[in-house]
Amino acid sequence: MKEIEAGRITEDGEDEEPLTLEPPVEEPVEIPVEVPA
Amino acid sequence: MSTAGFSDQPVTGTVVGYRWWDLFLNGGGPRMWVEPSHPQPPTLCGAWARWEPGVNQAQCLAIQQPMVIFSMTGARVTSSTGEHPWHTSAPEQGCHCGYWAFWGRPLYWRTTEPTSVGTLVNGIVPILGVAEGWGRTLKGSLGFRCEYAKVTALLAPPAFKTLLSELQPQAMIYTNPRAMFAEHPSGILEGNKTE
Repeated sequence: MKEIEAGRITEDGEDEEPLTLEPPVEEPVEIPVEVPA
Repeated sequence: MSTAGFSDQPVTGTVVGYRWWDLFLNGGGPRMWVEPSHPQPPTLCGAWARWEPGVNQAQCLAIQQPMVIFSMTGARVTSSTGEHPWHTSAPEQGCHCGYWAFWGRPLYWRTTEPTSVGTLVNGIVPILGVAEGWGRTLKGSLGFRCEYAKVTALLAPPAFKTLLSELQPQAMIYTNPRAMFAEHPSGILEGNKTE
């Protein structure tokens, strides 16, 4: 079984691809409130 | 403007991957020594740092001091850097900094068989789970390293279910590995889609 080194995310000779990610903003959800008559 | 290939225009999305943590039942963690007579609260740690509840921000942990070498004559020679120079931003290419996880299920020296998960060795319990990251991110064929990360799911041995849910209240706690993997596929998440 192959051992994976901590923090090593590529195989030998491969490049890492830089990305800048932003988590999607969660839209607020309006919950209708029923007012008793 | 960008640094080392990182764009200033972020792409909406997060990365999701699998990894192991160590649950230190007596506190402490990597690089720390805890006196047995002074037990600390339990901590969940990666290879080099604690994972706090909620969002964690990465720092480069490469040694900042110059490496000191003694020559054959006993004269002190100072090298400018160690193997990995320290960076002001993390992750950085050519280093191992950043919060990392793997695309594949990590089976390197442990197993996902429920009977083997949670074996206690010297007060340390290995815990398998799911991490989600974003911000400055490096993507590789095996996994990712990123600037911001949180624990999203943990596979809990029954005896540690309550403790893990207290340590990482935002994480979903599973006892069945198949359910955890099915509900948390690894990859780049763009909205509801997984690449």
